[in-house]
Amino acid sequence: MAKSDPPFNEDWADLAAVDKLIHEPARLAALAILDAVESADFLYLQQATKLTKGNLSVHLQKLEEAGLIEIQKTFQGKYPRTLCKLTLKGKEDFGKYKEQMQSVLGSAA
Amino acid sequence: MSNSIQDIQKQTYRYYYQDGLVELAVGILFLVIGLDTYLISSLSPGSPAAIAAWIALPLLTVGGIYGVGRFVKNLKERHVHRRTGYIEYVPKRNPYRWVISGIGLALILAVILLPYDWLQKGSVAGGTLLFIILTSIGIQVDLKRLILVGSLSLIIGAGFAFSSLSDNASLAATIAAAGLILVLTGSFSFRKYLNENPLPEEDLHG
Repeated sequence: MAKSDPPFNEDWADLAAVDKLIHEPARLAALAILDAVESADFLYLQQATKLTKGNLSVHLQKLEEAGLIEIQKTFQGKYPRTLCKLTLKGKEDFGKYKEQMQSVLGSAA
Repeated sequence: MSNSIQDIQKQTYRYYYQDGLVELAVGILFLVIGLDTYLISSLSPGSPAAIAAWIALPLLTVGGIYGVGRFVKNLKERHVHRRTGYIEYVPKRNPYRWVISGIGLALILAVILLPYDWLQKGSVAGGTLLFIILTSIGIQVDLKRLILVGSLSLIIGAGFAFSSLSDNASLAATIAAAGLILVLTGSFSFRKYLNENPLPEEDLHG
């Protein structure tokens, strides 16, 4: 847990260990999409998540800063395309997150 | 939680088929192959036209698969990626592919080995194969219209099995009919996709 987090029941360590960066719904959805494919562009992520451009940009930037995705600006013909791809760290962390959630939910799932 | 992630990922796989372009392209290919198969069955064996039709069949099948890929890729670049975005897919192997292939082969062999000479086995085998392929894709990506088209192919194949057409002609009719249905569902889906997803404002003004 981060230093600024309030004290939490130590017996619930699994719950506290859930990756908060990934656990946010918009970022979780983006990572779920990118985990399934080689790469997806910004437009697809926006129409799939129904977020505004600004909102999605902020979330993707956080993921990029954490090293979970890489963002590549390219062109398709004369049209710009912003491609997002899960990094190796992103794949590993997303896999760990899914295991954490299964552990946290346990038989309640 | 994992169900929602699975749903999101299924939706991502479904995206490739959603606009109807794959169905449209495959439907056109099936119509052409169906026509060629019919020519093979109706032309005099050994005639130059019949020989040409026989030679054309593997060329159409192999070339067609490549052609479908290119056709779909070009249309998606023109009409889909700018509207709803682009995905680069990871080549994915279906973990059940051997089971599905085994069941398919067993069904087709069972049909071929049926002791009824009056049954047009080609159309039943063709319809069964199309049912297996289309339904397995439809289930994988949760696209119900592919399951529907697959089921219709099976019914059409069974229907032509009792017709007075020859074996090859009934197979041709099954393939062509499946092709026609795919062209119709693909066209309808693509038109619906274009209506629901207009080009972004900036693209309209060049």
